[in-house]
Amino acid sequence: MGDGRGGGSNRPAWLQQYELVGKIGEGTYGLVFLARLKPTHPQAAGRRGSPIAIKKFKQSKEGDGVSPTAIREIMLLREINHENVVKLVNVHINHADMSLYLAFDYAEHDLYEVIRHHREKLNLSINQYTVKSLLWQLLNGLNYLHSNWIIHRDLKPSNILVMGEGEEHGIIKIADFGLARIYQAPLKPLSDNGVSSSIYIPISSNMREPKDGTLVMECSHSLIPPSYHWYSQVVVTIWYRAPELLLGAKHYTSAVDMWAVGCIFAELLTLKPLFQGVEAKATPNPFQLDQLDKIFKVLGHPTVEKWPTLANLPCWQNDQQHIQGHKYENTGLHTIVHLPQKGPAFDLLSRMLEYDPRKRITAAQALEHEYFRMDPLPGRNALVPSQPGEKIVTYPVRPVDTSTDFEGTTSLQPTQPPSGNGPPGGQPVPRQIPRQMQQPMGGMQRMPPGANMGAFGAAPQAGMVGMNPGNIPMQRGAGGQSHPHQLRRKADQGMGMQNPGYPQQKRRF
Amino acid sequence: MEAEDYAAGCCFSLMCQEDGADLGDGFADDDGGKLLLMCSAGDDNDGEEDEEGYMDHLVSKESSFCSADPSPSMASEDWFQCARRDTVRWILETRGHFGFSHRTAYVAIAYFDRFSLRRCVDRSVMPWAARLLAIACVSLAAKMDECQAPALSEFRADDDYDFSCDSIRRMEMLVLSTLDWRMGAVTPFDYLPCLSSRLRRFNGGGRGGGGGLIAVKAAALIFSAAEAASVLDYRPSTVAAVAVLAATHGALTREPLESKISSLSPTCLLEKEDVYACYTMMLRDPSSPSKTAKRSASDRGDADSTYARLDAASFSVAAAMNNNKRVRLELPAVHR
Repeated sequence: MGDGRGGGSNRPAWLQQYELVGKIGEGTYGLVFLARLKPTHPQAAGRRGSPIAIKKFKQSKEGDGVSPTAIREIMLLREINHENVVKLVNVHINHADMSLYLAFDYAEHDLYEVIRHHREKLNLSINQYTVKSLLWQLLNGLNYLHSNWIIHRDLKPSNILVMGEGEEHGIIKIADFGLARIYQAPLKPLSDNGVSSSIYIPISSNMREPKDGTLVMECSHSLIPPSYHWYSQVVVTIWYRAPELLLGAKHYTSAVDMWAVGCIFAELLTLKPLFQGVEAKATPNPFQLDQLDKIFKVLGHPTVEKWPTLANLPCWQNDQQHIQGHKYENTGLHTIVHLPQKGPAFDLLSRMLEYDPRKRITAAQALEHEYFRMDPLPGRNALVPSQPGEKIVTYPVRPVDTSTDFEGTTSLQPTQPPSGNGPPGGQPVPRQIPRQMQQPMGGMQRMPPGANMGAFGAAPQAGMVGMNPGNIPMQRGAGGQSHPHQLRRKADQGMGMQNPGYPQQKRRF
Repeated sequence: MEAEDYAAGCCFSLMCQEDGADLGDGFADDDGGKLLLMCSAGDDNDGEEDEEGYMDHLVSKESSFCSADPSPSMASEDWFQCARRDTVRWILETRGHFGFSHRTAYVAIAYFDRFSLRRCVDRSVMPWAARLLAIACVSLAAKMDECQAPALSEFRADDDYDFSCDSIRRMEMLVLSTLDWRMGAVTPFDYLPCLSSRLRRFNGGGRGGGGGLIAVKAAALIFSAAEAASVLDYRPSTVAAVAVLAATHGALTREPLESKISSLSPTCLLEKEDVYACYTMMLRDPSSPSKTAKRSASDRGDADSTYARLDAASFSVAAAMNNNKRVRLELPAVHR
């Protein structure tokens, strides 16, 4: 597959190193393809046929140059290396049209699909081991990001990928850093950064191609917000947005990510989004009354006593009538998530959903929580409990549209049903994916000396255009960093490859 | 560093009140001169601790952006020094024109220097090549740090050159890939807030508004150092500490300088030689001919010979391009 489509012969060399399987997503930023490394690929050694997700950024308007979102996303991905964060394998520039292609290790599942499968197909809650392991890994990835002063800002189930069968089976990968920022510069409000719906949301992004080739809106189910998959998503949902953002905080902290984790935790337990507000799209301001209403109905009225800086938030000050005039009863989170109020799971959840961002639990603190020390202990393969006797759920593989080539043009032949990556419920193709521990993001795009723009020849030390341009020992993230929203880290949480340390307690069999 | 601290008015901006006469072109016509300083609360220990933690983080990060040991590069050539100085001045002017932050300008200069270390720009294609590179660097820096980056066409502010948007975009791509997409940068400006507040603490807080003026002076010194030599020559933390001290005390001899610097930044492991060399460079009259690059004379012999060969090799391409440089520059379509 792949060969013979899109005129393989006039493709750039880098593209010919991949064997295209098909399109797996689409959004305003561009397209996402599933491909496999051909044996000729320099990185193919030992990982022949490894599935790769290739994200093609739509060519930006010529007058804008390279898209800022792409630059920021790639820059961040270049600096991060953690088992629970999506791995950027390569960056390719297509010089013909100056489009950008990012190659990632492919993840077969995401939390959105996992939750949906349980809700709609199995009608069965996710087992406690899986919930705990997913949450544990999510917190590990997030703790790493926060330790490196990166806020994700757009965590939601569809951005949390889960690896399919292979060496990394059942490992989560935090994805989509299009909105993430290193918070060294004072942060701008979300609405200034393209997150506001008015700038960022394409109507067509929530369309996927089913087998018959016609485009349908995917949001027919009430639980599905428009376009909700990492590979295809662009819509910024407000369901996971922290109250301080909804109230117009101009500067915010990593605590916004922890709020989202709380929402996701609850969703894993109930299979239903916790706070499903309806977004007010007309206004550019961050104030989302309906979303706040949904939150306050569950968690009760926020007060200045509980949240002292509440009074300083612009939307709180301006809104005497709607919120401040209203008296919300605390209907109780426990009645929604069906957890014992005294239990550790409920305690952890309510600490994540703390109104005051200063008091909200940090990722580092959450990892120390009692919940993770109790049986079942979290494990590396979240999808397959190591206890015998537990039922193993087979999750559907991602649908692939095999009729689209790398250029995004659809062939005239009738669309075939996805083969190999079958329809939901099909058997996943077993894959051997050797772990790539310690391997830096190898093979980043580098210009062959003199290949480009003759006037800018490679300097004599052209070998330096590699991973470590200055040949300086990378001291990224030496110990001792701290974070405004977390305790000082105990162990080294540097930028090096890290494994989440799973709780060291003997598992009972 | 909590969100609401800022909202509570702890974040202050400073207006430049100097006439800018000694600050180089970029400053002279900079009517804004805003130097936004982040300042953590300072009224509790948390703030201080966060500050220290953040400083540590910056220091650990900055080393990956410094250049390594002295290596032959264009930096030792006089013509390159001239072209570089012009470029830095243009970047500072452009900062003023668009109202970018100081940091953005500094990041653009750092991109330029990192690019120059990795690729040689042939003398025969100067000065347009340097300008095109500068535009790409400023555009990229703005995309990283500013809320709104200008359209590429807006960089045609002056009449010297008229680069097509496509040329600028290709140059952006070349910069991105040459820098290996490592566009995050630590700058001296990231340290100024922390250093300023340390200074305030050491001085018992008695100086009141003096901190603001010092920050503005320090910013000017940082840019005059950037004009004199590659910003990769010194660690950003060294540059920031030296600039804050020079702004506070003016010219110091070596000994008091060393004692003050160690009290200012006890946690940063600043190398004394570096500090002194940087200090000397920063306070040198910017108009004097610069032999400032700390790694100059001794390695020049070797560097020249390496360079001669490389220049000859790339000359034909560059010369061919040179013929096309008039008015609208179209760069050759690069490898497909």
